[in-house]
Amino acid sequence: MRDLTVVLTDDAALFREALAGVLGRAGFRIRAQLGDAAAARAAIAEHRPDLAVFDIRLPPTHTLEGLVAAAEIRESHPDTGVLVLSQHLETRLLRMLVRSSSRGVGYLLKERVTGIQDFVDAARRVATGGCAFDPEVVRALTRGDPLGRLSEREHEILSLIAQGRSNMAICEQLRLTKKTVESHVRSILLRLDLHPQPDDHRRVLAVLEYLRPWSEEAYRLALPPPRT
Amino acid sequence: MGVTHSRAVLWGLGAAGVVLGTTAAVLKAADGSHPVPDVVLTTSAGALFVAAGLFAAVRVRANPCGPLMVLVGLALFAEDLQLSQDPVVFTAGLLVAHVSTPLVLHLVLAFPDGRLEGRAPRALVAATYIAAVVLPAVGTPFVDWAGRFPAKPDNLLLIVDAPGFTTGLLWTMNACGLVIAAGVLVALLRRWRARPALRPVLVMALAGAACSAVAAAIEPTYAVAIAAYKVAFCLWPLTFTLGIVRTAPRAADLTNLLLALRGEVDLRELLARTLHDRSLRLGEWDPVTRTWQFRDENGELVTSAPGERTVTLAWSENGPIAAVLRRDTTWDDPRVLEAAGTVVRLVTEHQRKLDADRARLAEARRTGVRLVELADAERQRVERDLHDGAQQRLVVVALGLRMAQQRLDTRGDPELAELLASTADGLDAAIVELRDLARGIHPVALTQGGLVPAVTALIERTPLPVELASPTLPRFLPPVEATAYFVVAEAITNALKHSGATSVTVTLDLDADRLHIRVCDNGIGVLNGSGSGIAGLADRVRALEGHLRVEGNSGVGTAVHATIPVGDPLCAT
Repeated sequence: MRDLTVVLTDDAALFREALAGVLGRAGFRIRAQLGDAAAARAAIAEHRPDLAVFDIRLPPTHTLEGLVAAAEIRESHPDTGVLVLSQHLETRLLRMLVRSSSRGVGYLLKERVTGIQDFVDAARRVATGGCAFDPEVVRALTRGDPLGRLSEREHEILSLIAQGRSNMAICEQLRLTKKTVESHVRSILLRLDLHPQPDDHRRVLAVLEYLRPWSEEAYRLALPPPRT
Repeated sequence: MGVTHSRAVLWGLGAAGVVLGTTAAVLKAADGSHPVPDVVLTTSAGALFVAAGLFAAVRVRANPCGPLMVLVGLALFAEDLQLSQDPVVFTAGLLVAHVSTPLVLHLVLAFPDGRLEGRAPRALVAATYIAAVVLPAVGTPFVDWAGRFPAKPDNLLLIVDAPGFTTGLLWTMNACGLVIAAGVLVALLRRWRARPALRPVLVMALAGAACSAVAAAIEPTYAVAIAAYKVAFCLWPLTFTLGIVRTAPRAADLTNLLLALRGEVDLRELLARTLHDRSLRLGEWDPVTRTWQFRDENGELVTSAPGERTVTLAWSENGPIAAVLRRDTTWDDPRVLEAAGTVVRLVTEHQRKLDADRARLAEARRTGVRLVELADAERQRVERDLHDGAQQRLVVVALGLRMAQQRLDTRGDPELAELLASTADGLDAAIVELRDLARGIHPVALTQGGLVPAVTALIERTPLPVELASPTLPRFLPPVEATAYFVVAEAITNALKHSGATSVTVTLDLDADRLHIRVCDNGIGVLNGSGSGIAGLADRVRALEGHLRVEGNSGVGTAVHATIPVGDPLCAT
């Protein structure tokens, strides 16, 4: 299997270098390291990497430039997986990233980098068309489950689904049999009134969609205010 | 010419009018040569002049026109004394046979101020007094009335009957009359142009003059013309009186003026109605140019037109306030002008104070907003520094520790690896704490998404079921959004820490120009246990002209209710 290629964009050079070190050691080939969105777009168009990593805050305004660029890359380069890193997570921003599919997309807290192996796994998943959402996102989303429809175990499994884990991976992590996991998943989808989906990614998307019914308005409100 | 007159003088004049009027009417009737309508008309004219004159004298004490009008009426009666059969009365009547003419002319030319302005009118009036009073008096001793007309009583002043002299005197009088008439015509035409308000009075005077001229010149029309002249003469004092009554204050107008004190009114419009002049404009004294500044309805500067007069209504702190009137105010009750002036001054001062208060309030508001903005900017800077500086560095350090730990794992120094792992764990925890701290200082979602997204994110992190009820809110100015957010955050924190609540409800609502924030929990109801957090927020809310209230009842829970104005000038964006 060929090495996965990656383009890193973060204006904090120290962190970017550390990130490059982690991914480089894990076998990724760093094609370019950049400090702003415009340069990132050019580099991605040139290198067509498997993975583009963006800090959510980039110059000049340090608000959502990285997120906006990531969303654009997902439109213009569907083969490039996009991983957005943030100092803190906000579920309202997910909609921008996960518009029509959860293929090749991830949204993680920056500090997850220190859990080196998990982070590398997530990066690899996104680079190969999977998804990786921070456990915090799922926790935030499912915390608002007022009916308490899910059991603790089901929450745990739903969280792993959203992180992009396959049933197999979930079995390993929770030390459950494949059968048990599958029945839990069916039960989750049933309790949330979702039609069972064969495709893992669509399953993730469906869960996210269900838990946070975004409207176009909410999406617009999530955008930074126009600067005058 | 300042004339003041006591009540006694006015009563005396009135009594003289009654006595002379009755005498004249009786004499005319007894004489037999005057038809009844003629007696009625001439008596009415005299009586009306006396009455109108007295009325005017009471209304405008300083104006000599009132007494002048009374004198005209008395003179009209006095002229009829020559009809008496009593030699004394008859002789007196001869002396004043033409005395009404100069008085009428004096009145017409002095109306309405009571002053004769300019040399020509003064000369005209003086000449008329000489021609109509002095010349007949000079001629009187030279006419033997009893001798010439058998029905007449003796002329007590008779020296010698000299028909040649008296005819010459009559011709002189007539010639003077013609010259004076021409002068009067010119003077009246000039007043016609200068004082449009006087036109009705002048029309009456000219009509009377025309009638009398026609009567004198064309013998056959004498009866008709003289009747018309007498009717016109009656109407004349009536015109004066009507003018005075029309400008009299009405109770409703004065009430409206007083009501003007209560609120904002169109002062000009109100004064225009009260002072009966639609074209009225208000003027202010400009202390710099030392001129009046008059503005029309659109606030444009205008210059005064001919025939307009400026009446000072009141004195304010900035100098006098005046009205420009196209109408003559000579006959106005000075009390109305005074009342109007008082209202104008009060309204102006009231308005000025109101403006000053508003300015102070706006300034205080701006200061409050500025302070809150300043504090928010500082918090935002600290948040950014923590995120982009310390936090990222710590992540990099933690990463280094993890990598070192991985290498040690492979080379086998389990103790050191363990130490590194626990150090890295501690660092991770520190990073999480730092992240939460930075977010608490100033949440990024607030700047980027606004109030509802920020509160939603806050609720997502809260380990308590929190229900949010909010319509779609527009963006507000940063100080408003931040303050509202911190109120919610502080109330939720209190619910978590102090009240032992198991559920919280957050309600955001926007009415016309105020944002309502309500956070209720089902805890033990904490009023003062919340510490300085809520108190500091109350200051913040007050700085934005809002208010914050905390209600706590055991068993019911705590309710924090804040209202923040978002209207102008706070929603300038």
